[in-house]
Amino acid sequence: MTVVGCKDLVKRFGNEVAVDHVNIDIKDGEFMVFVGPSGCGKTTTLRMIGGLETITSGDIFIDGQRVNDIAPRHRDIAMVFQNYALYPHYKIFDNIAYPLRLRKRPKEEINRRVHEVAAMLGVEGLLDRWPRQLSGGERQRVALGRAIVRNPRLYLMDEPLSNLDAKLRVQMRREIIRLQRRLGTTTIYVTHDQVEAMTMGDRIIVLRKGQIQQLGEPESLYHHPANMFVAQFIGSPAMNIYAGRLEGDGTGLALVADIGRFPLSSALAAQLKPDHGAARGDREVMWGIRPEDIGLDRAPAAPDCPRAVVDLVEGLGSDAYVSLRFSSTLLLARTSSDSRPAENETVTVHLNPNKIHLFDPRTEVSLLQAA
Amino acid sequence: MTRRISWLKWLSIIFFVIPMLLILVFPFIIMVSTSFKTLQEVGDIPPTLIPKEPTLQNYSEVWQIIPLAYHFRNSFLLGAGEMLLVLLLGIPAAYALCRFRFGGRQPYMIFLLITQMFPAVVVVLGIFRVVAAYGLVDNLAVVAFVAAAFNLAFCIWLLTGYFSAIPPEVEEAAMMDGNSRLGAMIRMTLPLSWPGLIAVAIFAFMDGWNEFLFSLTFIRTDEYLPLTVGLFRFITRFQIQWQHLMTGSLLATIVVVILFMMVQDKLTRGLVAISEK
Amino acid sequence: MSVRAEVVRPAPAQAERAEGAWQRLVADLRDNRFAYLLLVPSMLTFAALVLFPLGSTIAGAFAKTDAVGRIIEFGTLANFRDLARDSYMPGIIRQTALFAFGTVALTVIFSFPMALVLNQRFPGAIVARSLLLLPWAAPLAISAMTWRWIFHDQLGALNHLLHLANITQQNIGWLSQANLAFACVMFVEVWSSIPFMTITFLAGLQSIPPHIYDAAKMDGASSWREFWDMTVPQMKRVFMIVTLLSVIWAFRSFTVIWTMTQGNPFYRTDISVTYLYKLAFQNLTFGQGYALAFATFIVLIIFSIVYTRVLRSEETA
Repeated sequence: MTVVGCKDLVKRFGNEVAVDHVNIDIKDGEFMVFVGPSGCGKTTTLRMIGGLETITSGDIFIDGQRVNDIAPRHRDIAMVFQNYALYPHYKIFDNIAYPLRLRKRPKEEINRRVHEVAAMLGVEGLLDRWPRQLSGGERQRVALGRAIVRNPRLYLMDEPLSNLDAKLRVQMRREIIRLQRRLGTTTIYVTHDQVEAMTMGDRIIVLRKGQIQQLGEPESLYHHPANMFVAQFIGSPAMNIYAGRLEGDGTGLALVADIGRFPLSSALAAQLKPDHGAARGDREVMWGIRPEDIGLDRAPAAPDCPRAVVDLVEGLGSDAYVSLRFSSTLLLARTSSDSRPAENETVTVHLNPNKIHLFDPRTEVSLLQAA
Repeated sequence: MTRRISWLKWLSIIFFVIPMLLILVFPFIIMVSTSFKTLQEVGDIPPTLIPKEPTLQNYSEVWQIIPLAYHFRNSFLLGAGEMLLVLLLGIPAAYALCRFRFGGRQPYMIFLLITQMFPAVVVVLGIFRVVAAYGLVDNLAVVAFVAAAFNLAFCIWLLTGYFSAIPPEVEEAAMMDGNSRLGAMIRMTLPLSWPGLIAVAIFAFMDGWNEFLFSLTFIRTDEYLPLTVGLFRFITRFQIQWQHLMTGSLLATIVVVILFMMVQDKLTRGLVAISEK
Repeated sequence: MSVRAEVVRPAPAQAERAEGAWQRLVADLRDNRFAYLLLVPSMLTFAALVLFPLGSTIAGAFAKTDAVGRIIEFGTLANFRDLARDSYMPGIIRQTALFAFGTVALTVIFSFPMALVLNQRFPGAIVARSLLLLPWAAPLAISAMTWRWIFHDQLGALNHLLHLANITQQNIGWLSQANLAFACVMFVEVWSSIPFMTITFLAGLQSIPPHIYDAAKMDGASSWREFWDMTVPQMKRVFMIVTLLSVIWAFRSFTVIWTMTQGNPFYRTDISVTYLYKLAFQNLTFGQGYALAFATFIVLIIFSIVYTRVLRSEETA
């Protein structure tokens, strides 16, 4: 049962605030991902949990115990580093064995454990080699092995896959997930890649400039982003976001944008937060739609349906990204390759009325409630 | 845990580093102190650190008692001579080692290593015959040459390090623009690496200024001695007037120390690069 | 790199191979004309001022020489015989070995901790680094003479400090008693070697990738373990190279001894290089000087080869 909690965690480097009052609760056995652009504080937070950085203020609890002043080696945590940090002067066997040797485990136990772990990760044949003789992927596995071998209560992983090439990254991603499910140990994983976050995490924390933007399951972040940053960070290609206005008339609310007027579906209207302010009259908003929620149609439709000229088509095999030019706006849509239009063609554009996102222009916070 | 390290750190600083540093600079303190003492005070028992009657008279007397002016000139000539020679001989070699791959590269580098293993006396003995035969005694140029040859390997290593830091693309661009290889080297690489060049130049100058053995052997007349041997002769020849000796020593030392401080950074960085090989 | 089409080829005869080698050499010279040209000035200098004296010394070692060092008669081991008969030689050999290895050992003992401390951040670290380098920058002859002044029995600072500290009231003759004098020259040699060695160690320490310390911390290492398991093994290579260089330099050390004692009292502070200098320029027995120089050089070469072998086998181990 390993549970990690951060309460009001703050880290300052000189005058710069790297981690700004972060509160986190991680459940037992969970695969939690910290994601965000570089400099957002995710690695710093991870290192504070591991004990490699001092805490400016706030508390960290592991299994209910306050660990602020406890040295890393007494926290029973293992860490996998971005550049693997293998010991260059030890052979692979000794690299993996090192944590056990430090704890003065008997030789036979060390031998057995190292071989077990090496077999689990497929590096048994490399035990007699030096780190410099291994490829990136092999080193990565050895680093994992070194973390696993002493069965800690918590794993910390700091962008372990970012130094690998694309194909290897995908493969290792799956291996790590399988491994974690098999071991069942709580894991905190840091990455800047939202694809990794979405595919790997049980829950995700999005960080920006030291502050938590949103904490939740991947689906929840995708469908109900809490603010503009999360909306554009999660999902690729990024969500289209532009300025617009909410207008209310007798029949209901409608979004008025440069490209057209879209009455809100009742389902969407029901999701508006109580204080959305549109009931009192018109309201400026930022509206967003994901490329995959835009439909294209060659047939000319009703007069108030928006029409656009196709600016650029990028074919990706199964999908195609279509840039649509309106009078003063550019939207990116995603269609299947089969039904993609040609460049300079004029098409009708349909926005999925249930998938329109609305944000406050000033605070950038979403006007829709989470599910 | 960081707290535990801290007091160990402070303790070691106080009880180790400070005494060590004191010992390392002690002679210089003595030099300064003695140079301001009168003859009487020098002979005082017990000696004092801060002179009771500080005087500047040594600084003016010393020039008469020892031919210090000549010594300064000679040291300067040695330094400048070695500096020029090292640059002239070393820059082409370092450039070749750095930019070209050729069969002779490895052997040459090994050869450089071997020259560093010679005791200087071997060279002295071997050359003395020739020097004496051709009447080249008292010739500062010879001393500068020998000293330069001895220091050359180390300086070539330093230079190679500095040249390697200049990306070859710069020279390639210059050659595209119409320069020959030599032209590219002169117009591009040398100007770009001038901080490193200055560091090596000053290093070679210092080596010439500090030179002792070759001057001791090949120069007989007082007039042509550099500061090092000149001050040494002062000990063995006359009744030692320590205050003058220290004054001369201080003057001799200050010059190189100032030069050194100017290039200290670059030099240590060059050293680092070498030690990594 | 072209792919070779023939996989199996009968080995060429010895003569053919030699010819091939010669042709390759000529081709190399032709292709890289400019590079070789650049090397000419320095090669000429080395030939004249390094190779020639070496040859000259070797020749002279095996010949009878006159009072200016010219060769009278070649092809004799008389010089070596005279050296072996020299009653001072055993002492010189002992002193040389003691000097070379002793000073290096002492320098390491003081330099390594110094480097460890200087690797930390503390106020004045930069000043400390600059002060550290002073003995290296200053003319060694002059520093040695100053130490001679400090070691002076009646007027020297050292005795004065000892008086003050009430350790003794004697005027110790530092440079007049054989064993003390030897200790003093060793001391000054160590003093002058500490800057270079410390800086080299410091560079080595700073080249250790810092993340392995993080990894070691997470794996459970205390700071003591970090030092032994991480710092020391990584420093091994730097350590071996710097000690090799230092031993070689100590063997060659002339200035310190010459300016402080000139080998006195009674050759008790002489080492190989200072003694051979005296043999040549004071006794005018150049032949013996050549012989001793040659012997010293051989010892150095053998030592370097053995040492590098050990170094290389350590690395691949």
